[in-house]
Amino acid sequence: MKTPLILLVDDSKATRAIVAKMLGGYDCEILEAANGALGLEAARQGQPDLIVLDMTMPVMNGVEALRELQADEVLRKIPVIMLTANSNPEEMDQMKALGATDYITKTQKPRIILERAIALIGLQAKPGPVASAAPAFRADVTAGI
Amino acid sequence: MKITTPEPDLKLFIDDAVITVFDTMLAMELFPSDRGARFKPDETQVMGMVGVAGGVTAVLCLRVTRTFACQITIAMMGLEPEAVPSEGDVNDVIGELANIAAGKLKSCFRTPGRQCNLSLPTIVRGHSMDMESMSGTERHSFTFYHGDEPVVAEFYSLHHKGIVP
Repeated sequence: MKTPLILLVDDSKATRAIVAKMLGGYDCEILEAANGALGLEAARQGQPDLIVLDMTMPVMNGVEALRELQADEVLRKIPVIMLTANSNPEEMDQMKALGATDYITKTQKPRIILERAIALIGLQAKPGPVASAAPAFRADVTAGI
Repeated sequence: MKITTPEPDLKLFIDDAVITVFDTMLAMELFPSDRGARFKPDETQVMGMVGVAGGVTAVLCLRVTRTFACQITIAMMGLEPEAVPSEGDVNDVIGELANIAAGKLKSCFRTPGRQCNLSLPTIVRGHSMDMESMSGTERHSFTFYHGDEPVVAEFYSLHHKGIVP
């Protein structure tokens, strides 16, 4: 069975590091990109199973990247979780209307990303202890999902 | 201009945004303080700034000492405690915290049918920084502490009657 590939697109290296470490205890490969344009390129080359896409980024923001993804017959099939600092229900609806599978705000507990990833692509925990994460997330991860 | 949240209490909004961000992203407990920030005059400060445009026109600034900014970076990126984070990483983390706090704050000021956008974060570093706002701008400053480390949130907004208390 193919190891799931997750593409993280966020201009914040810290946020990418947090999400990557959180996913580190799970059987998946991670690709990272620092803006929407690089994310699209990575998606075309890597054909990921899931894309976690930040909304506010330089060069190409998440909304533009989502539109490009949805315009591509192959890439539009990849589930996309929008990750954003904004917690606005209207934007949430707008993103879903544009084709996003889900929408997570950065002030929500990060384990929600894991829960959604597990639900969307059947992410499996690696055997043994879960890899360490940043202190804020260690408790969430080791709590077991 | 009509705001969906009646009689918004800016202090409550900012307390909630800043405390939530530090709790969620860093597992750090912050306490609001009325005693003001006590920065040492020779200590470098790092400030993350994010603009909000739409239902409200404002800038949110988060300011900490460089020492605390490094501790925050180590905590957020899960680095070894003795690591010395690069200035780029510190900028990234402080900017991201300001961005997330502004995002949470922005939802308090939303106006139905009107888009409200955030700018990309900007970082300023220096000693004894003074911010002066232009005419028509209101400045609100809120101090928090994590142990002895001050965290200052400053909110500069164009005054609209009924929005800023």
